[in-house]
Amino acid sequence: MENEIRETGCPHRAAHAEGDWRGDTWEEVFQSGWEACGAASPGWTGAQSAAESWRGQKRLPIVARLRAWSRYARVVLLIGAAVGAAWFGSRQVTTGASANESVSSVPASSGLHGELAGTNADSGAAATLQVDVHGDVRRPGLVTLQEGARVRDAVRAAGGFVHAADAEDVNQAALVWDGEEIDIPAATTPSSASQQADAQGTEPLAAPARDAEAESQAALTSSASREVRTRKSAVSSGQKIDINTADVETLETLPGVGPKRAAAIVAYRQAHGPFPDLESLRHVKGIGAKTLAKWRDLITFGGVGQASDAGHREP
Amino acid sequence: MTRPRLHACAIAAFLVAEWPRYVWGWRAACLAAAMAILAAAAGSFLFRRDSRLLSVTAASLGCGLATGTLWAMFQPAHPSAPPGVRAVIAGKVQSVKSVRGRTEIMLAVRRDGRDGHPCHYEAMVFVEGSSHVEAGQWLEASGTFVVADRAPSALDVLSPLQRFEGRVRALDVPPDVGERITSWMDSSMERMSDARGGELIHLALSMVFGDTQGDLPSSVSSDFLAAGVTHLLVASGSNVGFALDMAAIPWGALLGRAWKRGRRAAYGVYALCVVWGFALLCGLQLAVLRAACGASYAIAASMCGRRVHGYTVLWASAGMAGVLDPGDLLTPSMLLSFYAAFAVCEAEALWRRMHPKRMDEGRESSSRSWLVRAGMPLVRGLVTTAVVDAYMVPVLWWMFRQWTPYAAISTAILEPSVEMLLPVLVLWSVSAAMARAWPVAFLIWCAHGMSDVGCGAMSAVLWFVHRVASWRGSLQSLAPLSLEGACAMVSGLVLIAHARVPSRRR
Repeated sequence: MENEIRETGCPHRAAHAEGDWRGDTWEEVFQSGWEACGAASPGWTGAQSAAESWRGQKRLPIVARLRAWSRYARVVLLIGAAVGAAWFGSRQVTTGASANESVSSVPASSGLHGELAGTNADSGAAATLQVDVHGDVRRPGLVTLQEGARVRDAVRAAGGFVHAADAEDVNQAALVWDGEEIDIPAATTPSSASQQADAQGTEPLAAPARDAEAESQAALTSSASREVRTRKSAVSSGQKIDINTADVETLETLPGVGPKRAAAIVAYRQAHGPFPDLESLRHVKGIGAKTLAKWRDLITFGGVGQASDAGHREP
Repeated sequence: MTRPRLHACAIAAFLVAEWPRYVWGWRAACLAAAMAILAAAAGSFLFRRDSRLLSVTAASLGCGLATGTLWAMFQPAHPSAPPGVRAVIAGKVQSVKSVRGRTEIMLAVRRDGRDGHPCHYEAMVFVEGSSHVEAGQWLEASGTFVVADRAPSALDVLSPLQRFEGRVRALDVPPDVGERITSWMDSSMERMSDARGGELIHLALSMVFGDTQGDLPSSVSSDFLAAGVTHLLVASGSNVGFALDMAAIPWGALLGRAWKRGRRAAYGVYALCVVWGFALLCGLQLAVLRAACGASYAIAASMCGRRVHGYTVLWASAGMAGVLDPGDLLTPSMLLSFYAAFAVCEAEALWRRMHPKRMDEGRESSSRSWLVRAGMPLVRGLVTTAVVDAYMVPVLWWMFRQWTPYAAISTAILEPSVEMLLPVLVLWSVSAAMARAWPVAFLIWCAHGMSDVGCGAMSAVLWFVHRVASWRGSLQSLAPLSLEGACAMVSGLVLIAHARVPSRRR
């Protein structure tokens, strides 16, 4: 400490050097010491002195130079250590996947929290699930994943995308479920679909249709059955959703519908029977005129109200 | 020993005694207290026979044991019925998941038994078939507690989770004040919005109050997760700070002028009301509760004319949270919140070391080019978020086995942007509410205008998040990491941050 004071001529800096673990640096020196140092020797910073020494204007001892640069180096080292460790951890997953082509080591759940709340601490034996991946992947077929896997892991287990552009239209972060069928569309499909929509003169619907397209592509990754997947594809391809038979996942493909609102629709339908027309949907909490206007061309009412394609009763 | 360290030791000793007493019982509490006394005795010896540490630790342990006992008496953290015996529990739904033909409901149990006596623990309720239950709803479950068929993980030990199998029925419990207000704001904003407004409104409200109701579509949540900015959807300390900033405007313009004497105390009371009012609006989420505790401590200190450091506030918030809600003290959400606050303190300290304040900073800043002045906050944001993310890697790895490499970039860009957007969102909601209450043409026009601006801003945020989420390798799965490994990594990072280069000996 005394050496440091003599060396720097600044007791606060010495306290800083000394106090990281023993003194007050943790709470106080950062706050007061450096300000006082600045007052005692205005304009001095470690970076400046290091830079000056590099320029040869002022020679500092090598330890002092090291100290001057250590504040930058420690940040770089800290970030580098964390990133390196995480990269190593992700490589372990990749290595495991390549060792067993059909198995991808992804977040596994164990313990109550891990199993139930989506956390994965302290894993033990993990449940596996099987999904069928086909479409624009290198090795389409059945892949086995661990519980908690995401679409990215399924695609990786299936050999990866055939074209890099395929990844743009797939929500790779979505969780996959046991028995799911994942269809990776070719990269050209969405644009051709939207061009087709434009060509048909459906400009007012183009934006929601594209949204529905994107949403349905994403939803493909989280649906639990072929039927649901087909329905979600149907939304984007212009087919309509039967509001009286659709399940929660299918309803979520409608614009502005999340899990809560979809559940509310289903709950109301079960409590009060099928919806006869568009206006009857306003009884569901959270659905207003604006929302119904968006759905007008996306939903039907089956045979209940003999509704027209536009969601209105025929005259 | 310095006063901040004594303060930290006192709170740590209090929590060491209180939490095990409440959650694990007398045996664990006594064991923890004995170990704490031994550590304090060793510490007292090391710190030149400073007896204050030992006496403060002993007093804090006593307070902790007493508080834990009181909590255990009036609000036990365990079910009253043993496994296999029919029981009835009631509580609020935290999350719902359908797996293999059955519904798994995470329930924050607050009533236990036929008589409905108060309790405080979490249970996972398994219901056969699909059940239309949503987050935020109150449920009554009847059935039996079951024993887990797997060894508990470290998180299970820290935050016990009971397993319950049976049937559920919805309870007609009116929503709390916060839910009613946010729902009203939601519907008001939706009236004034155009197509696709619902999703954007949910996003905007989530950024201010947190996504407590699970209104956001899963695709949006997934994008935020992959971009590493999920914290933007959760109300936290920054939101509390924002609420204080917003509340300072009417204080400075109107209320503050009314007080000529005792202005500091009056502002302190006003700020405390704002902080806890905001926490109530957010439904007293755990992160907000912690932040509100910390803010209350800082405000109280400023009322007394004292400045406190971030670490002191962090410890104080832990102590207050322990008093207010010991059951949730070590839940994953609370642990993440505490650890994230610690990481922010560390990042700020490192930045201060890199760029110490100087007395002539103001003079120099005027001579700097606009590029440097504009770029410095961005660089600072990038560095601090990178450091925070580096600190978060071990914990997120241990808990979720996930890593988002682009989180620092997206956070550095999005967080200041969202901070700038928050006033717009407030104006948006206020104008929509006013237009609904007084449907005058001018107000409606203003509300529509603000709606367009707000929706545009939220669309831009969504677009950016989606772009980042679609980058290659945006969400990495990691190999399993044990608790010991995570602790070792955290220790290594702290060591890197605080290790000093040996000084030259003359």
